[in-house]
Amino acid sequence: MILYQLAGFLGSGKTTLMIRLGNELAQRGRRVAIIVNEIGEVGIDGDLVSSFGLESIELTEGCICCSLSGSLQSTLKTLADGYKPEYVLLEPTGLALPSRVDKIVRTSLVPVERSVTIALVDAYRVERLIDQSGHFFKRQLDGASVVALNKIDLIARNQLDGIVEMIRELNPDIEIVPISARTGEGVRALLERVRL
Amino acid sequence: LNEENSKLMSGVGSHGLRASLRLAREMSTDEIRNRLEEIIMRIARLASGDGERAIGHIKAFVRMGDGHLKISVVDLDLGTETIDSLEEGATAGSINLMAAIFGLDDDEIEEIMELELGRSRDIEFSIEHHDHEQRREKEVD
Repeated sequence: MILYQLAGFLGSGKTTLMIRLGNELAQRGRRVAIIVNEIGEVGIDGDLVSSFGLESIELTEGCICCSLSGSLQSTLKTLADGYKPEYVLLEPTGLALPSRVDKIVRTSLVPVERSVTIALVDAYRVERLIDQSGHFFKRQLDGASVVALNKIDLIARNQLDGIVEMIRELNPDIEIVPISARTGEGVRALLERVRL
Repeated sequence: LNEENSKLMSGVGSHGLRASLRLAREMSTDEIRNRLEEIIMRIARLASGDGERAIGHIKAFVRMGDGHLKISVVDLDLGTETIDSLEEGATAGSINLMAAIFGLDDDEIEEIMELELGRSRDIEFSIEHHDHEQRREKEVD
């Protein structure tokens, strides 16, 4: 099982990228499981994923990096024992800490051949979000394999270098791949970077 | 900072609700979409204090007959982003709605969402109320 965690703050485009990756893997005939976690009591993204013909498991009533860690581990075990997916696409809530989710996966006793964390950052809103909650934003980048700087279709090209610099101030060593999950721009480069 | 609860750490409050909906008059799918987008934008304006507070995410998934509608707002200037596959003819359905906003607590967001749904006349909503005590016990867990 190869696990891709699509992490990132609320509204950063995780579900849009998830649907794109899910369709890509399905077209290649791969066995894929999608796990979506919502912050509230009601699910929304699972319904959207299903409307694109992809099957998903939705975990609600809490956050998988906090109160729902046991649910995530048991879901992974159930999948590993039954459906036996080659790939798991995991979308935590926009308020989860990816490093904590990764730890929960590692301690699940489920054999994971490779685990990759893609941290999505909303290029359009990044400055305001850092202003509002810089410490939390920084924590969300910790442990990510790569940053997918999303929504580049909504910014002027001459803004890109400044935004990359803002992210580098929070995490100097992380690789940043500019993408638009909506238009598909840069997604091929991201897939190559994460070997998907 | 509470290192054990990432939601508290973020400074974001949130609320999610489920409601049934019914058209109060005959409406085209374009009208339904426009009305629902207006409601979501009103919630966004009110909850963000006309942009004073940053929006985390406000999103809704609506089912009517065999069709559906996903509406999403992350910023007042960007407005709504909508995926529309509504089909003509349906007069009732359901909505799952979630809002997450910086600087408001969960109850304040709930109040705003219920207020705006309650103001709607062309589309009537009946909210499924849940047990708050049960929710708080779960949060304490």
